[in-house]
Order: sequence, then C-alpha cells, then structure tokens
Amino acid sequence: MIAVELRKLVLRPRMWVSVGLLCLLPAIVAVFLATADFAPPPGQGAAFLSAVVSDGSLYPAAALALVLPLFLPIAVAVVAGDAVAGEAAGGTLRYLLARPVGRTRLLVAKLVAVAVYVTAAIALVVVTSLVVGVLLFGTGGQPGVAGGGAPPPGVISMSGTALSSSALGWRLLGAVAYIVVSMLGFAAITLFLSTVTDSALGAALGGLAVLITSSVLETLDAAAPAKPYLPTHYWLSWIDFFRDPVLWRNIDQGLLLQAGYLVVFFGAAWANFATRDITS
Amino acid sequence: MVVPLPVVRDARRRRWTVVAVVTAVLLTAPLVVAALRPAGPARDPAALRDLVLRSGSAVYQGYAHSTGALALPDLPDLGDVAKLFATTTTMHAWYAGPVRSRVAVLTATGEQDLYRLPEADYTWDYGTRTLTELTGAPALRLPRASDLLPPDLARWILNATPGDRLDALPGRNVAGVAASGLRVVPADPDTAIGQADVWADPATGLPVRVEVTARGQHAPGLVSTFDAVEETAPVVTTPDLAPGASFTLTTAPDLSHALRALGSARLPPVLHGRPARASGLDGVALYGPGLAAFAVVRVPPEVAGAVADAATTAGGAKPALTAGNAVVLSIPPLSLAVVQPHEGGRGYLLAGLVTPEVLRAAAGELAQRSGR
Repeated sequence: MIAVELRKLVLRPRMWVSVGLLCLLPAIVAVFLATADFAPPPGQGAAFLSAVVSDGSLYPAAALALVLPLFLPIAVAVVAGDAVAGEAAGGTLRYLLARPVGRTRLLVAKLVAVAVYVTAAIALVVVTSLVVGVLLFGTGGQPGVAGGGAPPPGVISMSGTALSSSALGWRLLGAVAYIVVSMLGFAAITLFLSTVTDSALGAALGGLAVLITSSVLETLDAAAPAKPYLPTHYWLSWIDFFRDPVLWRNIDQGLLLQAGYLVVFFGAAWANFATRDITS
Repeated sequence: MVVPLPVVRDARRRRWTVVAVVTAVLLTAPLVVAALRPAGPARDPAALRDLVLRSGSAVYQGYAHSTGALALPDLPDLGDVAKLFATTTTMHAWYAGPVRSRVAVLTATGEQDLYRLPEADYTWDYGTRTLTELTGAPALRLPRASDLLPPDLARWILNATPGDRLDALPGRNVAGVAASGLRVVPADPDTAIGQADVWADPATGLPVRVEVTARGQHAPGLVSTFDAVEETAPVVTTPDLAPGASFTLTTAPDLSHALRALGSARLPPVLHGRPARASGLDGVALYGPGLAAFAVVRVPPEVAGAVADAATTAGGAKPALTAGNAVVLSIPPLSLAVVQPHEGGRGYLLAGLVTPEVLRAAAGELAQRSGR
C-alpha cells in the first residue's frame, strides 16, 4: 500500500515541480548574493544569510531558513491536501477503497507518502543549496585580525565556536530531521482537512489558513498564553542546532508539540475517514 | 442525504470519543503537571530578602526570558536599550560566580554573548562575527540584557530599597523550583514603581522570577523569569577565536560615551532638592536615592533635538518653562525628559524610575540654569 502511494507520488509531475521550485528559491537568492557580493546587514534577512558570503558550506542552513516559513508549508499543504480529497475529486477514491485494504491502512500510507515527500524535498534543498553555495561562495573564511598565522577554515557556530565538517554535518542532519517532524504535524492538520472535503484546493487552503492564523498569533503579545501550543511556535528552533552548546530545550518542546498535533489530527482524520460515506 | 446505519453511527461515535479523550489528555497534561509541582513555603520576607542579597555566589545555568511592556519611542543611540524594555528577550545563562559567567541573548537569526571572566570581559556578536575583549570597568553604563536576568534584577531592586515595606507572597513553582515570594513596596512617593515581586529558592536565595509593576498599574510592566534552571556549577571558559571571525579590543562603553555626553560641562550639585551623587563620569550625574534616583546627562544640541523629536512623536508633554523647552515622556514606571535651552547650545537628558513631576521640576531648574 505504501509502495503504491509512493509510486503515485513519484509519477506526479506536480510533485517534481514543487520540489524544483523549493530548490530554485535558494539558488536565485544565492545568485543575487554572489552577484552583488555583499550580504544582508547583520540581524536582517533570513538566518545565516549574512554568513554565507564568506562560507558557502553554510548555505544549506540559509536555504532551510529561506524555504521553511512559507514555501515548504505551501508545498506540504498542497501534497497533504491532495492526499484524500484529490482522490475523491478525481473519482478514484471509491475504486481505491474497493481493494481489500482497510481505510486506516490507506490513511497511514497517505501520511507516510507525505513524510517521504517532505524528507526528500528538504534533502534535495540541502544538497542543491550546498552545491550552489560551494560553487558560488567557496568554503572557509578568512582568518581574523588576531587570528595569527593561517588557521584552518571552518564554519562558525552562532555562539562563535568553530564547527568542524562533521559537526556541521550532524547538526544539519538534526535540523533536517527536526524540520521533517515539524512539517508532519502541519501535514496531519491538512490531511484531516483532506478527509472532510472533496476539494484538494479547499483542504490545502484550509491548511494554509491554519498556518497564517498561527503566524499572526505569534506576533500578538495578548496571545502569549496560547503561543506554546501554536503549530508554528517552535518551527524556527532548528536554528538551535547551530548554537554551542546545542539548545535542546526548544527542540524537545517542538518535537513534543508536533507529536501532539500528529496524534490529534491524524486521529481526527482516522475517526472521520474510517466511517465516512464515500460517494465519489 | 444518506443516513448512516446504526452500526456505522456507533463506530463513528466510538472513534471520535477516542480522539476527544486523547485531545483532552494532551491539553490538560501540562496543566496537571504544573499543578502537581510543589509551591515554595511561605518565608519571612525580611529573611528571604537577606538571603537573596547574599545569593551572588549561588551558581546556576538556565534559560530565561524577560518581557517588557514599556512602549519606548525609537530614541537615537538608545535603540538597543529601548528594545530590552519593550519586547521579549530570551537568554541562556551560565553563572559560576560573580566574575565567571556567560549570558547568550538568543534571537531567531543569531546570538550575542557576554562573558565575564577574571582576566577580562568579552562579547561575541554573531551578526558581525566579532569577538571583542572589553577593558576597564565603566563607572556607569547603559542597561544590557544580562541585567534583566531574574537574579541580577532582583538583587538590584532589593539593594535599592533597603528600608521599604516587605510583604510575604504565596510560594509558587518557577521552572521546577519551589520558590518563596516577597513583595517590596517602595515608600518614596517620587518613585514610579508601585511594587516589585520576587520569588526565590528558599534554600539558596537564587531569584527565579521578578515582576515589576508601575504605580497605579495592575499588570506588571516588566517580568523576568526562568523557564528552566539548574542550580549546578557550569563550566565557563575564555572564548576561543574561531577561524574566520574578527577580534577587537576596546574599552567597555560607559553611559557618557554611549550618549556622547559633554564631559567638560558641570552639572548642578543639587536638583529638585536632591544632591548629586558622584557618577564617576564627566557630564553625567545621578540625583536622589534608591529607586527614586534619576540620571542627568549633558548632551550636544543635535542629540537633544533628536531625542526631543522622538519623545514628541511618542506623545511627550511639553511643560511651559521660563527658559528653554522641555519634553517629558512618561512610560510607567519610566520617565524621560529632554531639555533644550532657548539659545541653543547644550541640552540635557533626564531619565529614571520616577514620576514625571520629578523630571518636570528638574527640567525647569536645568533650563533656568542654562538661561542665566
């Protein structure tokens, strides 16, 4: 069942278009940065963007910061919203369920397919941005004023310590895993919406409405008591992988929160879809 | 419309009940855990105050945030200070002693660290990727994020209110610490602080939460609290210069330098009946005791003009003075004033946790003095 869903996902042109667009945005930004040859002022623009001009190996982190707030959730909303509602709109859901496969299994397969899509999309963003970053900006920085001699080049953590290639690698892997989990919580919300409507567009827009509402409430001081429960609250905590020491507190909280969203909304999707009348 | 069969209806009801129960458990679990955490015992507030004041050697490492609700205008040269009191600042702190600590101010795009070490103080700014060694100890400096950590803020407030009324507060659990509370109510009618609430570990005296409320207000205007804290000694070492980072050596910035104070100018020995206290800096003076103190800085005309414009835009009042102009801005519990003499020339900045009437009177005296 999962293999069938994955095959369908791979064969869909829209999947490749969305992944291509996700990879394209950081590449465009990198070209502009390389052409202009100056970085955004410190504290402005996406995280890591001011650092990549002197070290392209950090560009995957900057690329994640570029796509995470909006483009990645949009892609996830489109794929997750299409998961069930797309089948219903296309008139294939009845035939899909005619097979001797339980609806719960089908739903699990749909969620696994979304998870694979998210992982693959982020992995491709990281790989392409690493290639683009190294090609356009090179690797390693210049030694500091008091550096003395010629210290080996390396990436600097947000706390000012040097990160070896292996340290940067596992921190990037941790960040990717964290973002995948963050997107799964959001995907579960959109998957639930996909089970309550026959319109894939409606489900995706519903997911984006949740995203926008959460982002707006994040900026509102009056909503402070609710903020720790908002789905987007800990999304940016993947940056904490690049501090020294790694700031696990928000990462742990974010993983717990997304697990909660995953359980509740996948449960709601299961409760609704498993007993729903399928008419299309 | 298709009416579902009873067996389908029952199955649906069962499934939604499971989802509702799981949701309720997940939503209430944090509240239940918080409610089950023990609150600290009630302690004699005077004894707790003494314990807090002696807690400078209490080690800790933790994650804290301070939230200020003071809508300060965008003041020239003071933007970073204004942000501290108008927004939420999140910090990760490692404190191994008064001269061995590190405070990291965390933002979504970077980090700024302050190291206090026996040999020197250092700052790290990820935005500029610069490690700076600070030499010298400024006699008077602008507030910085580490001053808003619960231990530092609590000790500063309690030091400034030695004889004021103390009340015991109910204990509460803060970041896993069963903390005892006290409230200090400043008696001086000139201070704009109505009360300051401090919760601290009754065993070590480590303050874990501080709430400062302006006079006449109900909600605190400044809250500083730990979100997680361990009372264990951290390892804080001298920061290494990473390859690719820059290094600078500079004298620690003081208030006079930050505000471009005119060092050659003499300030009056008494203002509004308050004798000047030695600030250690030329062109800067402190007047009054404790929380009712206010600072006066003599500044160039362009600085005074820029601050006056910002204060006016933010709704500052313009009291009628016999000589010169003044703008007084009150953002409880903070008051700001700027004085511009009629004939131009040097101006004055005044700021303190005092009522605006105090600064208005002081501004009048300064303008009159300049007009002579």
